[in-house]
Amino acid sequence: MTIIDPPPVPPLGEPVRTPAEPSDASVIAESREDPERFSTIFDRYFAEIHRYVASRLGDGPADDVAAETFLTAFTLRHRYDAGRPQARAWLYGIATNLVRRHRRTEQRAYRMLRRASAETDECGAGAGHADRVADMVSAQRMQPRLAAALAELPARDRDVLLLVAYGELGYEEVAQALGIRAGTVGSRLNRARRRLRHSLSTDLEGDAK
Amino acid sequence: MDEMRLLREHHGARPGPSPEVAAHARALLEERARTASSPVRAKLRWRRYALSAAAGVAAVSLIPLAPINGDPGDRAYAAEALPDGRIKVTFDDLDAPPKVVQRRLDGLERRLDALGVQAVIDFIPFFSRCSVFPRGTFYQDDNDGSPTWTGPERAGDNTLVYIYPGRIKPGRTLVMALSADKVGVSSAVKIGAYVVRGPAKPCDPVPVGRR
Repeated sequence: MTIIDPPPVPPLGEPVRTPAEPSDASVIAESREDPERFSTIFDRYFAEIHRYVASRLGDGPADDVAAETFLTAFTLRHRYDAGRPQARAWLYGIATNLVRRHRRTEQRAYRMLRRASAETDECGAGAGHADRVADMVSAQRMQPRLAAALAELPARDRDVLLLVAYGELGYEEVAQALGIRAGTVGSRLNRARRRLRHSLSTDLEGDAK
Repeated sequence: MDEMRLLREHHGARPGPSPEVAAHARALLEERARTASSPVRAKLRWRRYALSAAAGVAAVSLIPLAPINGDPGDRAYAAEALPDGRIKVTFDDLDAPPKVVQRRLDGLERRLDALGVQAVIDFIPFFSRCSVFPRGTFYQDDNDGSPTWTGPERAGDNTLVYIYPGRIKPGRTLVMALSADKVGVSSAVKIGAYVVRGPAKPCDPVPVGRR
């Protein structure tokens, strides 16, 4: 006689736990033998990488650059450091390298942002809405200045700043992404933030006068 | 003035990719993955064999091998990129059943592909060769006559081959055929390889001396 146990039912109120997903490192290792496994990495990170690239280059170029990021990652998968469970920083690093090839596009994106924001600024300021809206307008008024300040940053400093601000990477992750020391990340980030603050406050002082 | 907050607000306003953009990018990746997992001769899996060799054009080497124990499983044979640019290929058991060896060779092809070398590697019966030679447009002018591979060498129970990826131009295929024979407690392995332009033709094995 065979006794078959029913599947366990979790107590009420306790979330059903799904088996732990394999780490990025193990998926990438498997993809060396089974290349189609790499789609899992795509599914985990494509939207995030696309948004990062779009924030830097604009939506149109981001479609191509984000797709190219994953094709490049696929080609380089045999070089992935299996000691790093998460592939996030690695992918941001590849995307950043590809963004560098589109420096002109990035500068153009900042110019467009300045122009578009200035137009919005005029409409918003003229509307004279309530406080809640005023906050938004204030943020919008900062956009052209932000774009101008970003455009003036050295590319190396801008990469670090935007990996932290957009990608929300930690120092170690940025260091891994860009192949530099964590100490260098800190100094570049501080320099970039200082310059950005200075540019923005100088503009505001100019407005006040 | 919180410049980081401003940046995050700017970034946070991004809607993310449309489903069409994501689907297109995924399709591109899947296509690349399919190409990588089924190199030139996915359809030729059962039509392999024969060691094509002609003096002066294809290198063939034969070495005695010690008996090898252990379960080969489904592991691919190892391919390791060396600091000097060569790829070291390690065959750790060629005495396994032919289907197992061929499966591991298929895995090796994928590893080599990941390292930038398009290769077609066939496991063929000893004392046989491909009826067709060369199995593609033979291409000798890719380099200054330097070999595209060297070996085989003995390393304990293993057989080693070294590939020079820098001497195999894009669009070329490294065609390699292996055969192994075992008599009593000793065995021998025979490896022949050369480079062709484009994909390789299938290898139909025929006994040596017949066409």
